[in-house]
Amino acid sequence: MRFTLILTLALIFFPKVEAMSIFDVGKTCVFSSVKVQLLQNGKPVVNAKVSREWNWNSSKEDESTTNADGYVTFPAVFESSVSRLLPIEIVITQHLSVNINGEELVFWTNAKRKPEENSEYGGAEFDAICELSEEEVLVEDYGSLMLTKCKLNKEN
Amino acid sequence: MSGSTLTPKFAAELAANVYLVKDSDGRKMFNAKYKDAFNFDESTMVKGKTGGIIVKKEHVMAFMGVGQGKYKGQAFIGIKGTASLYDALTDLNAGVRSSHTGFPVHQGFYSAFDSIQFELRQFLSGLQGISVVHCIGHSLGGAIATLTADWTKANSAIPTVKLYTFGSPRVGLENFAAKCTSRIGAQNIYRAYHRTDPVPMVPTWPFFHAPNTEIGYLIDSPVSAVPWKYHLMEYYINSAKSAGSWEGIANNRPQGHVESAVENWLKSDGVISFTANTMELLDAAFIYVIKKVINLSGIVVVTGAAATLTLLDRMAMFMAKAGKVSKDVGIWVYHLVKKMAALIGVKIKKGVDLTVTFIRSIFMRLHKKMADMIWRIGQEVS
Repeated sequence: MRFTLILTLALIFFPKVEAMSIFDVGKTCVFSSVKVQLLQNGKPVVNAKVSREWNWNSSKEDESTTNADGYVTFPAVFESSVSRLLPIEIVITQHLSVNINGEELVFWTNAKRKPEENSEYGGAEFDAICELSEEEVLVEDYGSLMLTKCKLNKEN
Repeated sequence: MSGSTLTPKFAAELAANVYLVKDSDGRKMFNAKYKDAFNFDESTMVKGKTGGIIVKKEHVMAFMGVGQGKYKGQAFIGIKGTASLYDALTDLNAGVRSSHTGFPVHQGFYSAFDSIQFELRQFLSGLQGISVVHCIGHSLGGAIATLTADWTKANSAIPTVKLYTFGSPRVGLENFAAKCTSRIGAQNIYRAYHRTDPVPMVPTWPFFHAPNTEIGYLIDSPVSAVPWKYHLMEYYINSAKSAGSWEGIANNRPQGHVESAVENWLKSDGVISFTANTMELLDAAFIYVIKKVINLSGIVVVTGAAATLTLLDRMAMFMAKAGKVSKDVGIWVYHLVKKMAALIGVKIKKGVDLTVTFIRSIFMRLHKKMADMIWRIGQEVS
């Protein structure tokens, strides 16, 4: 109830709002499902540990391993927070890294600014090919900042 | 508009990207985005060794950077507030206290600014050859950026300080807004806000926005199912891109309710209820009556003494005192209190003794009614 005044004012000033939607906070997608093929100098990175980290209200991570073709997948992750009831910006920093010969190489970093799944790529599924030998590039096409060695798989 | 003015797009994107400095991943992207604009080094910026500082406090985060390349000779201070500050923003009973430059501001914003003042002083003292400092912030960050710009102009030899805010709440009382405007210069303040963004509407009476002039950057926006949709930076960035220049959105500040309409409303006896128009009129009426009281009686809101007094205490004291000064003044206080009382279903008669306790109880009950209303809505939909 500490933020009641701002909610009240919002409702008073905008009486036509649909009250349900205000509280329809649901869950926030903190990391969409991921499917990437990891390559190094054009060759699949096989049986390598890939880490996925994200930080919304706290930092969390999970891991998976590339298969014989260099593919690795992660399911979507959702979290809830009462902060969604406040008019504040959603900022979920995310990164993907792979451990190669004991060295952790970050190949994809992003700031997720929307709660919806697949907002990392503006609604498209995160299905990409990542070439570790390439330089990271800054991408600003999806309403946020992304540093990446990955290119979306256009076929999906 | 001078050549060193940031474009709306640059300022809006910077206000949005300040949110990224919260962790190393975010700073890495922030650095990649602004490596040509700011003298930043991810390995040293947190410690502030080479002109770039990241400040992380309980209620506020900020970056302070020195411009380079195209931005040589300029410095940048970007600020974001944290969710914990919303308690302060939504607390109608919050205190008002004298700012670091000596004028009444919201207690919560004062404390947030106070927490970064040491680093700000440190940053400014290290600047050389800087002719302009840009202060940028969104939402609560805009409020703290306002205090930062005001303090920087008052306490440094920097020739020009420019302030860019997006969806900022009101920071201080009228004399703060006036002094802040004259100190920084209205032409150096770019306060952008969407018509349907509720945050710039709070805190309510008697807080004012700076600049207090006709210059404004009001951007049209539709009513949304989510009330604060147009408070989000995504939409401010879109609006900034569409505007292209500050001139493209300038001079749209609404004139508010004309005085005659406010007077007529105050004097009327019609039934009133909680609607957008009623709240706008009440806001305008409150400001109108305060001005009337100050002009006719010279009474000002007590802000310096007795730190234990809340804003409501002070306003109640102000109104009660004003109500007893003369008939000319008292009648407007009576009309205002009568309107507020009507909103909570209380009828007051002409000649009633408007004591501090009585006026304060009306203020509190009105606030409580608003809170109860939203509580009921919350219960019904959850």
